[in-house]
Amino acid sequence: MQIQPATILGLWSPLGCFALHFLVFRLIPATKRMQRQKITVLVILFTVLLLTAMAFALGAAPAEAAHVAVLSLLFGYTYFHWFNMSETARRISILVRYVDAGPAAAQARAEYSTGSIYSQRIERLRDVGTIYQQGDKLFVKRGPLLLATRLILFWRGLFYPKK
Amino acid sequence: MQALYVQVLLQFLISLGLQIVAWRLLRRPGDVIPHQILLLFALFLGMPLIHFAFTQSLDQLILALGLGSAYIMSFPAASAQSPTILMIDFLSRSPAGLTSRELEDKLNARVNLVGDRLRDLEADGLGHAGAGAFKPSPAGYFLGAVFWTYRKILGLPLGGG
Repeated sequence: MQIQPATILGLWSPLGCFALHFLVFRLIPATKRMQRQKITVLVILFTVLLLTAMAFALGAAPAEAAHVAVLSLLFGYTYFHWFNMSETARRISILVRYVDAGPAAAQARAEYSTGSIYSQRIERLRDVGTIYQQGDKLFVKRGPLLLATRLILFWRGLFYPKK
Repeated sequence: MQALYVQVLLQFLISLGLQIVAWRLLRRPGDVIPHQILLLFALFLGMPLIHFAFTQSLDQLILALGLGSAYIMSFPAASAQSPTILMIDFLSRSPAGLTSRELEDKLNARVNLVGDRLRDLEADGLGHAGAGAFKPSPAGYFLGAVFWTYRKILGLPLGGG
């Protein structure tokens, strides 16, 4: 049973993302008020670059360095969704609010309203420039999130066909 | 290296095919996301482990687990009718735009933003939402505590949901 050094290096990606994430949020407090998902994407891309550069520095062949980049991206992408769950997942939010509320846990559900979920999402979509307002109307811009939406809805259609 | 990627990709495509068949033929109307996630784990993490028993290749196992993890983490976006995805979709289908009120009404007509997730939590044994306040089970409390600790370590406020 053997394992290549490139695979071992790629496995460091989630830990690297978490360590860098910690340093960025702790050392640069302003980043907490910025669009946190954008910060997370930048952290992951930086970690991928760092690990790939390390592979080259350790004498890896181009194919091995590419393997490090692919593995780092896959685990980095998984880390992004982990972070995103802590940021936006409704089930996790309900549980975390209960833990945070402690003895006043009965309030946890009341504070988590559909109105706040909606307004948080509008704010996030505005921050990342996916939607904009003209007069009293909201519009969507063409861009990566619109493309991702189309892909996800197509993907959903494979599993949940419309009857 | 090329053979490694071809094998992992083939294995992933077989799991994906099995998932499509399982979702279309075996899924019951009342199925909730946690039940589906268990099947996803079996297909996309269990299959590579079984394959590993024959190949003994850790490189192949780790690449397959990386691909499987990335896929599993993405799937709830499609499965759970993400409100963000729905909002972008509604706006893209309305060339004249929508007022914030109209968009919120459309969203609420499609999904129950809190109620659906409480139902999922209950179905997965992570909590109980009776007539009163929501109460998590020990497993639900543990899961909440893991994410609460993660946010605290990063120094971030609670996620907005």
